[in-house]
Amino acid sequence: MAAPLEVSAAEAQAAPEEVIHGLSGKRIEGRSLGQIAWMRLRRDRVAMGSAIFVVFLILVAIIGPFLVQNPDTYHSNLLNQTLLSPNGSFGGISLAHPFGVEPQTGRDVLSRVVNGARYSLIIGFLSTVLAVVIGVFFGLIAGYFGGWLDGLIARTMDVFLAFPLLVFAIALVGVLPTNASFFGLALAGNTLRIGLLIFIIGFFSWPYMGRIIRGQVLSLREREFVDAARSLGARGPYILFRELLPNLWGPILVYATLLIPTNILFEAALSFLGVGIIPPTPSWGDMLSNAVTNGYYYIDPMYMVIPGMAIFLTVMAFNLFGDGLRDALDPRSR
Amino acid sequence: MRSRKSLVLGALTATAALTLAACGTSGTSPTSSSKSSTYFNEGITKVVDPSTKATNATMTIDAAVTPDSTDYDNTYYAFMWDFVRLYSMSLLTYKSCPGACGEQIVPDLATGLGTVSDHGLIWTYHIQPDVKFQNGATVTSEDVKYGVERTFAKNLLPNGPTYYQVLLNDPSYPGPYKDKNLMGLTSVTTPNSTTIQFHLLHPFSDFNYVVALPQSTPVLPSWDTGSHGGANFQLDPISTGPYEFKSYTLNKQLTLVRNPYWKASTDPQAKQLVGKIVVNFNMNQNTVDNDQIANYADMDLQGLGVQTAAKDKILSTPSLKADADDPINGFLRFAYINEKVIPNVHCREAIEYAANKVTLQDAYGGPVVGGQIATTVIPPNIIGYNNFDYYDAVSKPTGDVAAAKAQLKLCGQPNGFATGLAYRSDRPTDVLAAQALQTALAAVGIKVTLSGYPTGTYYSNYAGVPAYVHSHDLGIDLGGWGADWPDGYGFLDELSNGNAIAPAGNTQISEINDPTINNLFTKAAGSTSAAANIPIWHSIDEDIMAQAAILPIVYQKVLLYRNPNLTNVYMDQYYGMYNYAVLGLK
Repeated sequence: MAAPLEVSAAEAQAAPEEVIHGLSGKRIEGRSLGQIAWMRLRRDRVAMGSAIFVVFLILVAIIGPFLVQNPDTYHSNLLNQTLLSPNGSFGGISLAHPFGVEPQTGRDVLSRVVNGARYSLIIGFLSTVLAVVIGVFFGLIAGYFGGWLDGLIARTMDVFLAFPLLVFAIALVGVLPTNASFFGLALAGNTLRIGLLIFIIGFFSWPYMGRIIRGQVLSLREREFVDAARSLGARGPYILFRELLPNLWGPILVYATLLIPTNILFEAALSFLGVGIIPPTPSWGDMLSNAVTNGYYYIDPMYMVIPGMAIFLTVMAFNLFGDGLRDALDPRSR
Repeated sequence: MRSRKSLVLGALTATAALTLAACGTSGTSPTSSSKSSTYFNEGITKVVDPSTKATNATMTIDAAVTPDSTDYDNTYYAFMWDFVRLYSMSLLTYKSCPGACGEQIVPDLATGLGTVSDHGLIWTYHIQPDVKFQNGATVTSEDVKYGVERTFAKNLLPNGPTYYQVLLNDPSYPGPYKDKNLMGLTSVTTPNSTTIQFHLLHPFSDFNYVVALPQSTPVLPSWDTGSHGGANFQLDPISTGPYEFKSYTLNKQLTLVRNPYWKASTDPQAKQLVGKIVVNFNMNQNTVDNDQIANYADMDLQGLGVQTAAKDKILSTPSLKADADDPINGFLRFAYINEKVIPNVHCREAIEYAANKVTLQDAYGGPVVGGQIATTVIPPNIIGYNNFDYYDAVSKPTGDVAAAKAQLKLCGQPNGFATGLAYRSDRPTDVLAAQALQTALAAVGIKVTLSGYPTGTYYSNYAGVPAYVHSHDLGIDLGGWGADWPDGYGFLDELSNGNAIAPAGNTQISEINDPTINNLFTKAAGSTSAAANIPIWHSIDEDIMAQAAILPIVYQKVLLYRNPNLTNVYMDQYYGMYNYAVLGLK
């Protein structure tokens, strides 16, 4: 006879076996929130399709540039000598140049789009990381401490949100130096410019994250587990980072995913306006800008379509994936 | 003089162009189908549709830019120098005829070219006694002197050339607005009402070219007061030409009507064939192009040619192509190679050899409508042009890697070196040229870092400031140049004379300070005949190229469209665009 305290064994025996096997063929287990979310996400075909595209894009950005030809090689011989538009149809699409060549220079479009993906994603990701770090930190503080600190941070966020960001970014990139050194790390040219873009984009998009986190914290801080921690003697930082933050990973993940495409678009916009990535480093925004300012849209529409599609697909994939993630993590928001 | 591109609004207006272009194509061109036998490039060598027929019709001119000023004393743009002749007569002007003939200076208000006395220090001109202003007042030599005095008032009229301040012997004269005692410029004297004398600081053999600029136009002092005085003079400048201002909304629309006091007999270089001329400023270049083709406008004022969309349409439609010209317009596109940043001549020569002239030419629009590969500093239509090719730009247009590497060895940098390249980041052609040069130089190991700057401050704050160029290691700087007058001095002085190096706003970015070249300029200034100076311009050009201080890229070409409604149309070789002073309508 079993000891009276071995309840689990008794329970297992008590459960009707046919029910267990009949339902799922394996043992019923308690599922964590993460598992439930993952299950929901897997069922969402659109989100999974987008996720696969995002993974593909990341792979392209990492290994693509090693597989395609040099994006800076000129092929003047592939251009019509009068208008310098590519010979052949659809912007000179051929086996050697699957996306055609650039008007006026003959550079391979595929390799420029692939290299452009790398910079778009680097800037999109890193600026989002920066925005998330700043936004989460200030959102936590504002929501948890409240009072004048909340007032100060919330008003600061309002100021940032009301800022004519594009105009400011153009002015800032224009006046900043072309070479500088930070903590002994000398930066020049494009490296510096990319760093600047990450900083500017990240620094100005944190309030979106900050507001959401603040709102979540406002409701979370009244919950019992926070009271419990507080009554056990926990202090501010402990509660913020050990009690509240783990409960915020859901919204952080969702809004970070939705912030990435916004930031990619912002980089494209800055490059379009000539204050983004410095040529000849390829960038989608710069390609679109060339198509418009140099009139390529007229003689070679394909040259405009390709980077346009790249931006469109990337932004859409990230957005759909972010939506799917939100639905999975927080079905009530549907 | 400067060329001008409509890049102020850049990318933003370009989006509007997409929609506007669609409007333009839907219009039909009633005259292009029923046209006479004109042909491509006809306007370069002869007058197309010569006619003396006068009508009361209105001629419409579109401009994608705003003028720096419509005041003839205060403008430095080629298209305005061409245009102001419709309402002004300067002492001398350029003969209205096609080809090289158009580079001759002929008397306009004056009765003949200047006569020199006192060892080249005094230039004397006699003016026609019976020329009248638009209000009927007779033009006297004192009015010409007053016009010259106005050019000294740089605080009010900052844009024009500064030749009088540099050449005349009282450079500190403050201009007539600050000098309460009128007629205060002592270096210009008027012995009688039809004679004017200029007293120079040093002999200057090209002085006739200086008075052929619009700044020698007579101005009635009593007109230059009140609401149309000083800086506002441009709203209604007093006319001595075939037309006068009827109305002008600043930078928007200008209407010219016939000047009743103008006589063809006193002004043979201009014509008064239409009743009214309307100029619309500040339009989108694509709209300007489409307006001309669709016959809503007769002329594009800016004279820099049509944009890509219209180029395609014109060149692929034979009937439109027959009404177009693609002349070399006298502008050189080039890169300065700074002799202070890259002191070793062999390193500079390596750049000359390594540059891929084909990709550079493509950056400026390609061989047909962009430009012809340049091998010299002076372009072909300037007096003093000398055809030579030190760096095999024509025979090896994609660059001579072997020769470049040999020069790098001589320079002591067999693996190449690093330098910066300055360019105007808001000019698409400059952006493409910078990349093309960077890619070509990388092939021989010269590592170029690109630094883009805004056009508006390119010369005042960046590439035109030698201290900035040195501290930022900008060994290569893109630039463009057109001559103020069509001889070697007008073209070369600001690019290669040692005394032209300025601490800011510098256009001598190569910082050539070669005693041989400087002496040649002094010698040329002291000479008395323009023909004697031609060998001097040849040697200066060769010296600049031998020390590889300038990398010529293209002699710029533009695709100009002449509306078939117009008469007397031809490419004026001096202005690099159509001659606006003689146009009429069918």
